[in-house]
Order: sequence, then structure tokens, then C-alpha cells
Amino acid sequence: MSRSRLAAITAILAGSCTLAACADGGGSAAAAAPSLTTSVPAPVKDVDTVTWNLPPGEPPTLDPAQSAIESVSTPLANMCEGLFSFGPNYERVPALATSVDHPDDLTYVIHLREGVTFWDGKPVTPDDVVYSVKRILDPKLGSSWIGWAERLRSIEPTGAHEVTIKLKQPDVLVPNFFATPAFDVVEKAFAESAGRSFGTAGHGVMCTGPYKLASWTQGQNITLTRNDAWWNTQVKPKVKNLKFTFITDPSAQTAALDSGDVDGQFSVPRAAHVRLKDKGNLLFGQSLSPTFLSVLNQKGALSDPATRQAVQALIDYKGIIKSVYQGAAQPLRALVPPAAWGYGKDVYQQAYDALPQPAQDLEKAKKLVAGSAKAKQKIVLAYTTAIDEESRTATAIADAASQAGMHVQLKPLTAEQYGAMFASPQARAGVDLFLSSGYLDFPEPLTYYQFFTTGNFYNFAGYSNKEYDTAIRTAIATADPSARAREVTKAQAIMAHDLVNIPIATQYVNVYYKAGLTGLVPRQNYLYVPWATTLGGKG
Amino acid sequence: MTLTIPALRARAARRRRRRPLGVTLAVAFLLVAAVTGALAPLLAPHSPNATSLLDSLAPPGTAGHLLGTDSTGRDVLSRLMYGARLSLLAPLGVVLLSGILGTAAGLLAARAGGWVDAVLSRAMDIVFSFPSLLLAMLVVAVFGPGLTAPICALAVSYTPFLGRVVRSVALQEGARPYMESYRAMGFGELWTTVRHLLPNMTPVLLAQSALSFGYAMVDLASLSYLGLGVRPPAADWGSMISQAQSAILQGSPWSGLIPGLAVLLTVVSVNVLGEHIGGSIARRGEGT
Repeated sequence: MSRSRLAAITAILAGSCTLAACADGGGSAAAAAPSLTTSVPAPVKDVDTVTWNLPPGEPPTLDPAQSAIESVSTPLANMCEGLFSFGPNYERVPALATSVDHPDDLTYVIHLREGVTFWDGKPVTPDDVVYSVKRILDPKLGSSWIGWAERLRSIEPTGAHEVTIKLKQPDVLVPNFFATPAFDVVEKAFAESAGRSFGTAGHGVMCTGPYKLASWTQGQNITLTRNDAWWNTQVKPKVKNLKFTFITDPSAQTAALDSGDVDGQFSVPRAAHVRLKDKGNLLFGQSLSPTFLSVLNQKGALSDPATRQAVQALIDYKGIIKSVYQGAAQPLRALVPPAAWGYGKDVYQQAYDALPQPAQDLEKAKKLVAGSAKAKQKIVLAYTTAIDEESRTATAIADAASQAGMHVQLKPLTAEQYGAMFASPQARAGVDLFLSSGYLDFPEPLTYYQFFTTGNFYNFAGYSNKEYDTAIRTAIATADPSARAREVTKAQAIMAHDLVNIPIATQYVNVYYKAGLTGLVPRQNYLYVPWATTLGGKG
Repeated sequence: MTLTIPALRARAARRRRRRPLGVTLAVAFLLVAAVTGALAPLLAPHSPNATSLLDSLAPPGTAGHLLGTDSTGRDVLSRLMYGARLSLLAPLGVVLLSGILGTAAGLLAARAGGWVDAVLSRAMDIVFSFPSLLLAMLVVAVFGPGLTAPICALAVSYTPFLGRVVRSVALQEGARPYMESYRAMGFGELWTTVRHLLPNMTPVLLAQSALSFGYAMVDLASLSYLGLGVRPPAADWGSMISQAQSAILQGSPWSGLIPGLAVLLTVVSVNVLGEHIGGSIARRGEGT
């Protein structure tokens, strides 16, 4: 027994040596900042099979209702389609609908594309569309896409190829959701017969997209095959088969990508960048993703604004960007990153510039702590160990806190515990600060800021500010982009003042694919657009 | 028997000559590790938790960081020194706890015999059949991360290792004439067991405990590696290896290799020592 254990340790050490030897270059804290890719050569060659890894692991289902998680949305984006899709700059482009009329503030008349069929050849009807949208709104299904329908009065078929949506109150966010899985269209008869098994490995789904489900071997892979009867004849996908694997361990992902066992994946572990950058295509793009600290407990140490300001002053923005994210991120002044300003850019830019530049200031933190009794109380900071960048950021914050005379106790969470933080008040009990990352579904800052209005499900701390609520409410009902941006920036300024959240950084989205492939530009919208249709072989 | 000082010196020299070099090196390494851990606040060049993100992954030999820095810029040497405390004390806790439980169970089974022996032996078989690391992981899942729960769980898991050995030796010793003599003189079971049987078993207990220490260290390091051991930012060698995973991928293996080497050398040293003690007992047995 002792010999086998010693052999195991020796093997671990030898493995470490081998990995180190394989990796080129020595360690460096701050790699050169990567450049952002906005275009790549289009593919010219057909490829029989591309093996693509899903870093979050095997999806629990392929039901569009559950596609708010990356493991589901990454493959599903190539299978199921909504009424519209997002273009390269998040502009709404027609998909299963050709156009939408907006005769008054409360009505959207959607004109459906004619001649579209599901994979089984049956035509898409307005009934299928209405069924699909209403299905997701069923609370029993537990879909997080239910939120868009807060102001929905009705959705009905109003013609052979027409569906009409009526709202109770104006809501400028609604049209954005037409291009998200909230409006993915599934075949009514298929879904009804599958019942609760819809989307599972046993039953699969029935959609209209460029790829259809060929097989799902649980625990091993999901294979999609090209739908040659896809309605969009202007786009001819070059990849015939798309096989998804479920490697979650960052070291194993790196080894699989490096060896060519896997052809590509999104969200490549940062530690693997050095090793993969010259191997194939490691590309970066702007993201709609903020990493931030949420104040979860407004009654403890953080009830004093001085404590919150001190915490903000502790954050080593420069070190986090250069060392933790290796330059593939930017520090944030506000919760919503600049890439998510989908309109009113001048207004947002002016308001953003008016916010203090993020920089570590330990002296300021020490002064704030010295003047506040609350700031010396224990602060429990929860973060997930599943994301190395967040572990390192939390460790650095805790150390800076001790230097400033504060007591930040780290609470590491497994991936499961981290997920529970968003769903269960019990999981959040005893946590004062929560380090997490999220992303906006489309470039509309309101989608994030509305989470912090009084009574919102995601307003975990129970933050309540009448001025903030009024600004958000007004913005949601304001169609004019500049006027809306002004209302949103009002709310943004209130949030920055109250420090309900402490923004840290926006990290770039990244993708890796092997040298023989081309066509895929890294964009946050890969979660909702058929990204595999752009991929193919180089000339 | 009375020995003169020159005679004592000559005997000590003979013993030193007989002691293999490996044992000497093992003892020296363990002493250095223990002293370094105990005096870490005096010896460590930096605070073990002091981060400096811009100085992360500095290689060994960097000015001010003899063994380099980890992925958050913490000094590897300082964390290694402080880490020695938990990395050595935690397995020691497992060994002490399992030693007490195992010795008590083994002696009770051997001395009481009958149904007590049968019940205790079967109980030890059941515990023995359950993988120690799995039990520790289950306990951590219930009680949360930290060292107390895994130490207790591993101690329970290791109890049969020692319990079986103690029972076996106690049965052999119990049948020896000196034990019969004490009984004939009217001394009670408890007195003869504690006063005479137990001291005679001490070398065996030491040898077995030394081996258990090595196992416990690897198990605890594995738990820390899995994020189930000490809570961050506290340093221990297992968690240092775990936190170095991303650094290894980036071509900076030292922040993981160095604590890995410390675990390896400690376990090897303890095993060498344990085997040496075991060998000495066997030789003494052959001599009698």
C-alpha cells in the first residue's frame, strides 16, 4: 500500500514536470494583452466532423426552456431558432419571422416566414409559435426566460402566418427577446407527446435550425448533423457533423485541445492560453460579461457605506487585469460593460466617464476603516473555486483587506454550491459579499439594472431605492434611445453611489479552434445564434 | 549492569554505524520540517498570505523570493514553511486519535476474548472495508470543509490498521510466561495490561503509527487538493499543489512541485523510519 501511494505521488510530480516541459515559456504574471478579433477569413472547404467541447459539462436537457445555461445554449443555438436572430453587432435579423410591426406601444404583430418546416418535414404554424412561447411561460417548467413576459397581456395567432403580442404596459425590452430562446419555436405535437421528457436524451427536440439532433450518448457525447432542408438557403454550413464532448477539467480540456482530440471550444481556460496560442486559432472578442462583487447582506459590516467604499478601494484592478486575466479584460467603472451599450452610446460614455476610475487605494481603505466601527467586523466573501480567476481575485481581496485592517473571511464554493447561490436564500445565508460573473443576453443595460429594483427576484440583498426604481421604470417605457439611456444612466449613478454592487472587470469572450478551421468570430451571442454555420475548413 | 562513559560512547558509536544512511537522512529531514514549521513566524521571509498579483509566478531564485511566487504572488517558501504546520500536525492528529482508538479496541478484544473479541473484530472488518478517503469526503460533505472533520473520519478509518496489530500482539504477549506469573501473583487484568503489556507493545505501536502517518498525510493532502481540506487562504502543502494547477498549465510548475516534493519526502522519510523501527523489532525478536 505504501509503495502504491508513493508511486502515485511520484507520478503526480512526474506528470507536473511533463506538463511543465510541454508548456512553452516560463511563468510570467502579465502576458501581453490579446488583440480583439472582429473578422476572420470565411471557410471554403467542407469538414465532415468537428468535435467541440462544452466546458460546463453535459447539458441536463436540450429543452430551449432551460437554455439560460451555457451547456444547453451552446449546442441548442445551432438547433432551435427563434423569430429573429442576432447579427454580428446584435442587430435583430429575421429568422422564423420576416418582420414585426409595432402599431402602438402595446402591440407587436409578427409576420412569420412561409414554407419553413421542422426537421421532420412538418410545416411551422402560428400555433406552434404560440404554443412554444406559452410553454416556456408555464411556471411548472421553471424556465428563467419567463421574466420577459412580466407585462404580457396575450399572445395569439392572428393570421395564417401572423402572431400578435399584446402588452399591459409598454416594455422596450420585449423585442430583444424575439431573438432569444424565449421565442424558440418547437413542434407542438412533438413536445406535447414527449411531455416532461421533451429535450431529454431519450426524446430529444424538434426544431427548425441548421443542425438536427443525431444522437445523444449520455456521459459521452451529443452529435448534431446538418439539416440540409434548412430554410436559410443563403447560408450553407460547411461542417456536416458536430460532435459535442463534455470535458470539464481545465487540464483535461487543455490536453484535449492541444492533442487535437477536440477541435475547439468556447471559454478556453486562461491557464491554457500560452500553450494554445500558437497551436491553432485562439481568438478574443468583446463580451457583455461583468465580474463583480454583490453586497448580499445589507445589515452587517457592509451596512455602512464606508465599508463598501473601503472594499472597492481594496481591489487591485491593475493586478487583476494584468495577472489574473492576462490582459484579456478591462476594469469596470459600472456594472454594465461598455460593450453592452446597444444605443445612446454618447450618453452612456459621458455618464461612464463621470464615474471614478477604478484603482486600488489601500490608504483610502485604511482611512475609511479607521473611521468606521462596522468596517472592522467580519465580512464573509463567497466565490467559486471552479473558476480559477475568481479564486485568485478573492484571495487578493482578502489579503488587501487584512492590510487595511478589515477581516474578510473567504468562503470557497463548489460549482454546485455556486449555482445554488442564485436560487436559494438558504445557500446565501451567512454570506456578506459574493464574487460572481454574469452576462447580458443582448446589449441593453436595462436587462441587468432592472434586477436591482425593489422586489426583483435577483435583488438578493433586498436593495430598495425609490429614485432608482423610478429611473428603471421610466426607462422601460421609453422608446427613444437617448432618453432611455439618460434614465438608465441615472440609475447607474445611483447604484455606483450606493455600491450595491462593486464592478471589477469585463473579460473578453474567447474561442479556440484548430488550425485547419476558420470562419468563427468570438462574440458573446454564440449562446443564441447558430455559430457552427460560420465554421468550416480553410482553403 | 554498569557501563563506563567510554563504554557508553562506544555503544552509541556502534549504533550509529549500524543505522543506515537513509534513516539518518529521514530523521534529519523530518526534524528540519518540524522545526521549520514550528519556527515559521521567525524564519519565513514573508507573510504566507501576502499577495502581489503583479509579481505572480516569479520563478525560484527571484530576488526576495527564493522559491518563487504562486499565482497570486504569494511567497512559496513562506507558504511552504507555514504549510508544514498543518501538513504535519493534521496527520499527527489522525495517528494519535487512531492510535488511542486502535490500541483500546485491540487490547479489549484480545484481553476480553469471547463475544467482545468477535464483535470488535467484525466492527473493525467493516470499517476496514470502507475506503478511508471516501469516508473523509462524505464527512466533509456533511460537516463542511476544514480539518477537524477529515481528521476524525480518517482516524476512525485507520483504527482497524492498528487495532488488528495490537490485538494480534496482545494475544501473543498474553500467552507468555511473565503474564501468567502476574496473574498467578494475583495482579488484576487492567494493571498487568497497562503496566506491563502495553509498554512491551510500544515499538510495534510506533512502527505502525509511523506508517499510518504517511498514509494520513497523503490522504489529507488529497483532500486539500480536492478543496475539501483547509480553508483558504491558510497554507498547507496539499492546497498549495491544488492551487498550482493553473500555474503548471502556464509553464510555471514550481509552486506545485515544491510542496509536492515536500509531501513526497515527508512520506518517504516517515515510511523509512517506520520500516526501520519494524526491522529493529524483528531483529530483537530473532535475538531473544
